Amino acid sequence: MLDSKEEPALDRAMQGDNEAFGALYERYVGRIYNYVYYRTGNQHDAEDLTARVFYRAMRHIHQYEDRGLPISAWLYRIAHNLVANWHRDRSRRVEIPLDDGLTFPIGLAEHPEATLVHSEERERLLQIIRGLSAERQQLLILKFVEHMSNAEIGQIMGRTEGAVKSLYHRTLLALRDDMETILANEMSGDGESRQ
Amino acid sequence: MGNRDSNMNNLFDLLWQSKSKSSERLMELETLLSAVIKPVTPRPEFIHDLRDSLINHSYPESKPNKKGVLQSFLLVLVGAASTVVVFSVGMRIMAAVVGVLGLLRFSGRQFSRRRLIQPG
Repeated sequence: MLDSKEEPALDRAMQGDNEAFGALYERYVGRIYNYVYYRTGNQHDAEDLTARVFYRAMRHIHQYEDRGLPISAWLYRIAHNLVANWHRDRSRRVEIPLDDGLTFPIGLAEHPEATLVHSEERERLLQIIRGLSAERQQLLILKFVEHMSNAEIGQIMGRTEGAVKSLYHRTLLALRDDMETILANEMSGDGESRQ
Repeated sequence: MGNRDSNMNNLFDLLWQSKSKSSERLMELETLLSAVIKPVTPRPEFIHDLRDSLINHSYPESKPNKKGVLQSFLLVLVGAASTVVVFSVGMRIMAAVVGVLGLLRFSGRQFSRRRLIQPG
């Protein structure tokens, strides 16, 4: 299942060829960065974690086993674990929020292409997305950033195409319900404040 | 009858509307998601610097993991030893049970023999 272009580079990288690893890096750095960026919500941490993903990949590439999956699946797995550790470490620290819910929009403002849709709705949606499970966030990122098919996402996430389709549908329903709940709460809040 | 049919039609209409509303809302949500979650481009300096750093980076030669081998050997050894212990304890319990049963049977025979010997 390896891409025919990546196979020789991968073989050489596994034998310790740093230039070959550099070629793999160039191919995947954008994807991994996007994944980490949307999971962390800021450029600084996205760069730091992306670098760590590739250092870890480089350190362990000689142990890489071809299990019929693209190498991107392996890189996403490393990124997923590092982001999970990052969230765990962050939750342990006591933080004083400057303004509730503004972390993501501030981070995203560093990328103008991500701020084309600049509305309250967008900010809310990003907050709700961040509240989803890691798996659901990964699915949305792979679908909307990478424009991957359900089958490709299934390869990355170790699920069947049908399971990905089902997870996607449940994710959309969860998002819709969360948005409706927020809207309903706001409307009831407005009603109370008017009274 | 006509009234019942019209009620059923209304129900189907309601169900259809709610279904179509729901699917429309999901489609709207998908459109919104595709507008919000857009690919971002990392800084070129970051990509370049990290590439240079990776290419010039060298890790020390990885040695075979002696600790891991020793750990798995110990694990196998402990597993084998515990199997032997469990097996021998099981055998001893079985032997004890058989012994007790034999003793009970022997004492039962002795008791019935005595009863036969006693006159009357």
